[in-house]
Amino acid sequence: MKTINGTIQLRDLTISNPSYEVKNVNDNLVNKTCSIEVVFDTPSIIKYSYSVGGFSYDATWEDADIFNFVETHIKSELLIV
Amino acid sequence: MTLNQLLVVFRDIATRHKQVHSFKIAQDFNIDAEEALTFPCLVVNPITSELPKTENGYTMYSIKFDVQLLDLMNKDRDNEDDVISDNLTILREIVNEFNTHPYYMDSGIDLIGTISFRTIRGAYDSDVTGWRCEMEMQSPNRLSFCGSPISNLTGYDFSAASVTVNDGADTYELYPSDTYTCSSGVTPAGIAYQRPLPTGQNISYEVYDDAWQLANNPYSAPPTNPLYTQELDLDTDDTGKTLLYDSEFGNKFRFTDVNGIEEDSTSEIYIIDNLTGLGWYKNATSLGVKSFNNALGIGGTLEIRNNALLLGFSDWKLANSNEARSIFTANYNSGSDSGILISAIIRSQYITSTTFANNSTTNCFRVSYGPILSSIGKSTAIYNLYCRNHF
Repeated sequence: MKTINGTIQLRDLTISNPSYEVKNVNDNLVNKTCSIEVVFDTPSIIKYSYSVGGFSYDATWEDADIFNFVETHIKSELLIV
Repeated sequence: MTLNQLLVVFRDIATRHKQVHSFKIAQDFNIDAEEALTFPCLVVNPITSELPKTENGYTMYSIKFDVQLLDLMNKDRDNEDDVISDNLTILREIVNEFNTHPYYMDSGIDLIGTISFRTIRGAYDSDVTGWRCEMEMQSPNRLSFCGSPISNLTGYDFSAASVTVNDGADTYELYPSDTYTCSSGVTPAGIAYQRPLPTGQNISYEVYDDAWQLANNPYSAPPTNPLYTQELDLDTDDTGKTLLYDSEFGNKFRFTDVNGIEEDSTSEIYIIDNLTGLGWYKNATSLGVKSFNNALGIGGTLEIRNNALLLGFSDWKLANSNEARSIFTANYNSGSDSGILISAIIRSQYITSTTFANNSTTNCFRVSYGPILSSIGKSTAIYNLYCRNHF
């Protein structure tokens, strides 16, 4: 579980200092594309899924690169404060 | 009242009496143990209890308390008479409070018998003096066995005639009918509905989907003391359209319109399932074919129709997999039979708001005759089933 400092807007929900986990990584080895399912904790009884899809990668990527990519993506796409 | 409640009554009086500064429940040898007393101090110790037998049974019970009011004198004891006089007055005021205040009379608490006071001079500490007496407090002993945490007897039918008992405060009727039923004392009201089970989805993939509804639009809580939990009367009607108990409309039709009229092919397009408490939009054809992705989410067709107050409601939801299955029957034949219990919902498969966890990004569940749950792409358009929490 990782945490991002700040506030994100995810669909109808605003979450401060969200915690999330990278749940599924779907790899297309032929096209070297990837989609990642990220699941955020919310203040309610449910969690929110967010999909980071369709980006390309190269053969040198390790797990840490994926985590860094996800964090950068969340900050650039969802962070509002 | 229990012993604890009576002790609380004493503590309450000690707290409210402006000349009593502390309260203690203790036997003599423990009075000044553990902590220094603040005087004047009311000390109470329960000593005996009785359940006197009367012609109506054990209608009352009493507890006798040893009550002391202790105060501190000056070191030279020059105010001993004043202290003794004041303490006796305080004890009499406590007796008067118990004996005349409407609260205690309404609560059925009563001081009984003559109360004799005797002085305590130099007890516990040479500077402490006061009075002690015995107060016997009486309160009703509830007669019915219903309030006891004892499991009911099995294999015994109460067939005795009614027996009316008066305990002085209330009248009770024991064995009032052929079979005596313990009452909780709360009047039953309302119907508990058989809600479709949660699907287990706790991750929301889109606004208004299954998990979103779970968090934002849950079923209303059942009544605290319901008349009954609604069930199907399958002995009478094995199709699943007849209830065992009366609905809110006073009949046993499972599917009705808002006036309680049994649903048929000509009835209104809003139908209530009086088993689950859900309301359904009957004319699924008119909603058109929409995919999971098009139906749900901000700006999706569900939100548009809620904003437009479809049939006057703004809380429609795309049925989740279990809600959708609740109106299907396994007694499906073929042909024009859709397998759905509500007539004129004739489409044979519908998307649901439940995501297919094995492929959560791209697939959701669909329900079709059978009823069968299967996976379908979230971008594949088929018919939609709308429902709402009617009750």
